[in-house]
Amino acid sequence: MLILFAVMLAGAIVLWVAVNGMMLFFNRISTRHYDESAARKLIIGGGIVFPTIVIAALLAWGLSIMPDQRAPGDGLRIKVIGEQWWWRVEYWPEGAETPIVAANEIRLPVGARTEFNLTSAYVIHSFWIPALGGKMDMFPGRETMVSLEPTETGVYRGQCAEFCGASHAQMAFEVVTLDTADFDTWLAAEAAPAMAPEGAKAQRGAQVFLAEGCGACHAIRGTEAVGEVGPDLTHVGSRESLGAGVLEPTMANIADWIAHTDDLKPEVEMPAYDDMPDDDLMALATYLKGLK
Amino acid sequence: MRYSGTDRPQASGIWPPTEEMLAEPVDRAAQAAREDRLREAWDEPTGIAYWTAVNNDKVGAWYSLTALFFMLCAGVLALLMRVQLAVPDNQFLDADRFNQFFTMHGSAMMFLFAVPMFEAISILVLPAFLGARDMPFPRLSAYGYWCFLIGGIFVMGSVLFDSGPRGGWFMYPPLSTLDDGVGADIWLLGLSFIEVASIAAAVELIVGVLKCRPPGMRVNLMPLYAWYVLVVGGMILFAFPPLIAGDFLFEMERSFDWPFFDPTRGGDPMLWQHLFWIFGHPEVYIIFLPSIAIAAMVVPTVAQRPIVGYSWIVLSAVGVGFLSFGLWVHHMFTTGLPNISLGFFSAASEAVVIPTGIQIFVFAATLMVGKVKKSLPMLWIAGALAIFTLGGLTGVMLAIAPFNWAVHDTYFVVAHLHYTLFGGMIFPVMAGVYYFYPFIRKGKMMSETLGRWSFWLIFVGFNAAFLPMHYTGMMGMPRRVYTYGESMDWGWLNMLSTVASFVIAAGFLVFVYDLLRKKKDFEGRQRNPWNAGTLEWSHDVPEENWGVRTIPYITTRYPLWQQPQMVERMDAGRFYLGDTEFGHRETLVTSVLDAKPLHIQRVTGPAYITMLAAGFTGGAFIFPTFHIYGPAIVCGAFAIVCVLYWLWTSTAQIPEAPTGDVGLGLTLPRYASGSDAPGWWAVWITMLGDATAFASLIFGFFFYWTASDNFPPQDTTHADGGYVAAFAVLLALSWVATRMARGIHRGGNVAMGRILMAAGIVLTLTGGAAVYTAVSDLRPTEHVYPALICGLAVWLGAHLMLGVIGQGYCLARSLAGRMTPLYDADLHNVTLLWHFIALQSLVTAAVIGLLPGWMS
Amino acid sequence: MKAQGKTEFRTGVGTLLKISLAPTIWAFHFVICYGATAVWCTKLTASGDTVPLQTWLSALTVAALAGIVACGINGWRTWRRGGYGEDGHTPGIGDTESRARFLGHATVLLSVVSFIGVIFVITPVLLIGTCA
Repeated sequence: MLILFAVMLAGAIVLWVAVNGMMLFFNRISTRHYDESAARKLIIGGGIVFPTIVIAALLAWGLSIMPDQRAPGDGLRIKVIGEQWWWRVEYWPEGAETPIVAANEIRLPVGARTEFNLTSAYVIHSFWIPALGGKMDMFPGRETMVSLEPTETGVYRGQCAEFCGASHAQMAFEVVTLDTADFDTWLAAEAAPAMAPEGAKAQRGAQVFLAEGCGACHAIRGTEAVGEVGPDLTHVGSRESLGAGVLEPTMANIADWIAHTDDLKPEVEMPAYDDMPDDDLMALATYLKGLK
Repeated sequence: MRYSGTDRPQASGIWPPTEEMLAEPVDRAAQAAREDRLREAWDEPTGIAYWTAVNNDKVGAWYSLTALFFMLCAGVLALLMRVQLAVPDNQFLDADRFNQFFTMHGSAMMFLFAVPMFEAISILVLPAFLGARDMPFPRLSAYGYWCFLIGGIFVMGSVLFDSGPRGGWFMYPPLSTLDDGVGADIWLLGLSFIEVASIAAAVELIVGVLKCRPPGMRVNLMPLYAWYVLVVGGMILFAFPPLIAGDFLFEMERSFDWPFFDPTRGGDPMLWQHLFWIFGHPEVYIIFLPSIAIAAMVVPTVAQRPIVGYSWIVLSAVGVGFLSFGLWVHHMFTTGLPNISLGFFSAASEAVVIPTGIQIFVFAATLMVGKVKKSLPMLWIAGALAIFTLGGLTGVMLAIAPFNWAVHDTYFVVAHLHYTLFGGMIFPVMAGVYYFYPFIRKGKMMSETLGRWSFWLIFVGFNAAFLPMHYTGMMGMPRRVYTYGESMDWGWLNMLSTVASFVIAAGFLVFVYDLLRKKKDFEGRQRNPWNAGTLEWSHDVPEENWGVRTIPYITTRYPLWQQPQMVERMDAGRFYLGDTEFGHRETLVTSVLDAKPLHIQRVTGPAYITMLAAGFTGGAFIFPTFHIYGPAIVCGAFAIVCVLYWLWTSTAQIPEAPTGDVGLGLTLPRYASGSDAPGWWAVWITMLGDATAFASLIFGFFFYWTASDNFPPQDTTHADGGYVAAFAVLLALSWVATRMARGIHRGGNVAMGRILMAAGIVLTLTGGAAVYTAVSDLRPTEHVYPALICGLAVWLGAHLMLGVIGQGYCLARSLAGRMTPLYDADLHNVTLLWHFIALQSLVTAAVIGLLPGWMS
Repeated sequence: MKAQGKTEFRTGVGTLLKISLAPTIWAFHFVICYGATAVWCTKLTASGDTVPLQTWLSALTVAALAGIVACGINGWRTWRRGGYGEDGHTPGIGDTESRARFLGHATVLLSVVSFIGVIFVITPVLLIGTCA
């Protein structure tokens, strides 16, 4: 893929210089008189023979590397559902009957090909992790597939590439690639229910969460919160970003997010809790940040 | 001499004229009187009635200035977006406004600028290229212009009220079907309205090129621009109708909840993508080809010699015209279609490079063998090629699917498309403006100095703004984001693009100032300042409204270079139609291949009715935007009445004399019907476009079948077979009656003809009732299957109405004595219309009556 | 001078359309390839086997290429009849023969481009052997 790009880029530069150099030469520099048979040769050679050969070669090359990006995976499947404007993520390890549900972040093992089954809840989105591969659209009522095989560990950014409404720009996610062992450890932790709140502030935060009715939309496994409208928050504290790739996941940002969702993400469905007392907000943020 | 319906006036006299006849001097005294008569016939209204003018030079000028205005508006939107994107996390525009702006920027540039600009320029200059007095249907151009103006202001104005469309210029459902605002409706209905006007212009341009060439200008002698117009006109006929069909389905979903694109009820958003891009990709070439056509007019003049490889240009235009219809899925490379399917479009997208490239080599070859004169238009053409070749090369890269997956919907594509459109449209059009300005303003020139300033500002600004965007896109910046985070490191690139975009704007300001400033008379006033070889430079300075003094006899490609004393003889009144016997506006109609003179065609003059018709048509499209249907129907009805009045009073008029002397010893008929008449061609071409839209709906039927396992659904209600069959039979009979009426009427049996026309009306109405009954049990909101059947029925209903109006019109014309066996063009045109209606009826009957049985 | 009546449409447009016969063959070939692949992969095969599809489309391609070559030969003959000379300044460009020569030449050129186009379009069918 990179070689393909490099070759195309170099070819494009050479051809651009050649064609425009030719125009400049005939327009301004050359004073020689040419006859028409030379002109006709130029048209046939430059207009038909040369491009046909070059393009045929390029086409054959491009077609031959196409299937790579849709190769079947090595076992783990991740189902990603585009929501307004966040990502519902389900991990389906080989043979699993129920998924491990998460949101707005994807973790992948290095050295294995992971299959992504993509769909959408309302409108069309496009799933794209620039550093790892090409994009694939997500349609409501239809499932598409792309497979990725990261080779290095690291943190990357993914984002929605198909315009999907007001907050299209704010629909991103973090991708963390891990060694297989680290990944397995992480996945086991992700499958577990949420940790109990530690400390008074966090416990108060857990009460605020339930009292404010957050559980109607958000699920925190192991608690009474089982809502499925919004992102699953069971392990929200371990994520690398907040609000689907919008903010750094600091405590202050969590509080800011809850109080001013609409400012940070226009037309978002979650209401802004801007009349919530600061104490409650900070308690809630502490609780959520603690959900590792 | 007495004529009958079957023994009709014929052309007679000498054809082709000899050199001796052409060299013979003309009687000066007689000429003065003829000139006065012509001047009077082509006189233009003044005062407020100025706006009723229909002459191509007026309408063309209004049209192009309006398109320029919309382009500037869309440009301002672009600048505002660039300001918003200049720095990370900017608060200058909010998300909703930004989304409206980018939607409107794209939509306006495409629908309110690029395509109308092609039509405007063509209306403005094509008749002069062809030595014609005017377009074949001047009132149609005027109607198209007023529709464009009304629709354009309506659509563009919506951003001022914060209610503009905001789903992107591609309007993908379900995002745009779910949208609560009126923006999407404004887009759908407002632009459909304009698309109708575009098709009207395409019809007129095609007929103009095929039938209104000067005598002797065979197809191999046409100015290259005419070839491009022909190809692009044809492309419009096949590209716009799928979008109109898509708009129809889309608006049905938005207004009446018919679930064409709703996956929960069997619909599929992919159908819209197909219909949109079947329009959308040829559209790019519809914009590009006419602009290259301008280059094809400029380059020979600059090289001071005929183009080298005329047939190669024709090959290139026709080849691109075809291949461009095989590219649409490259806008859908990431939708998860099978790799083989993507491969087809990848292949075609690469193949189109070949004919596109040939044009550039033809220009290079012409410049190579010619003696190049340095000039401003050539500077713009050179700039165009520099920019376009880069856009073309990134296009080659984008057509390779794996690369496309990486950069699709990023700023790389933004850069690519602006390179193709600036290089393939803006720069050549600018070249054209500088080149044709002395023709349009009759000898006045634009400033060389300002022109260079404008060029370098736009050229440098453009490259500084858009070249970095390739890199921005490669770094991962997606399109259509209203802001981006600081951590992205795109900030400096975006700042660069923003600053440079203002340099482009400055260049356009210089250009607009130069274009509009008052020019003093002494700045030139030459008739042919570039020493060009094509007919438009035989224009009269100072201006005359008659187009050309006499319509010349053409035997070369560059008559002003290659035919002796061309202009002198035209001016002297040596050639054809130098007079108007009865004071009408007239032009010559010639044969398609060899431009043999066939007859004298009366063309229409100034009228208010076109404006009224456009206004009511506007009402019929604009009211439904706000779900106000009563007034919409009233407007629609009035629009029909206006059009009928216009046809009744000014088309297919029975002439004062059956034949007329056109000069050079040639006598031609003054009336034509059937395939001799331009009107018949217009019907044919329009209905071809209509049939394409219909085919798109039928394609939808098959699309749902292949895309879904449950189409038609298991236990659904089907259209009633008996009524469908009855409908098919009744419509076939109505068609037969109309066809028979034509022959019998021409044979002289007027009474029987009238009976058959009346019978046709009754049969059509009964057929309409049958199809309505057949589908009346279906509930279109439940599933896409009944919705599509009802959609087809609605489509058909509209066509049956048109058919009945046609039949009634002929009957009324006959009763009023305006249609006789000898003068029966109306009946021929309506019969032709009926061929298409019958075809669509029978296909629909088969699709809704027979296919479901085979599919399930 | 006789009015051409009904034949004007047929001879006029018919002859003009003849130059686009080769690209029309390309278009049909393209549409059939695309349509056949869509129907084959969604409705007719469960296994994703593409060998029958490849066979049939290759046969279609051979037929299309033959048609295009025939157009080209036809155009070539018309073009060569009466010698070369397709450019603007050739004397006698305003006669019927030179118009015919021009149409012949355009036909040949369009056949060449269509020929290349058809080969391009069949490439993916041969190179990509799956329905995925």
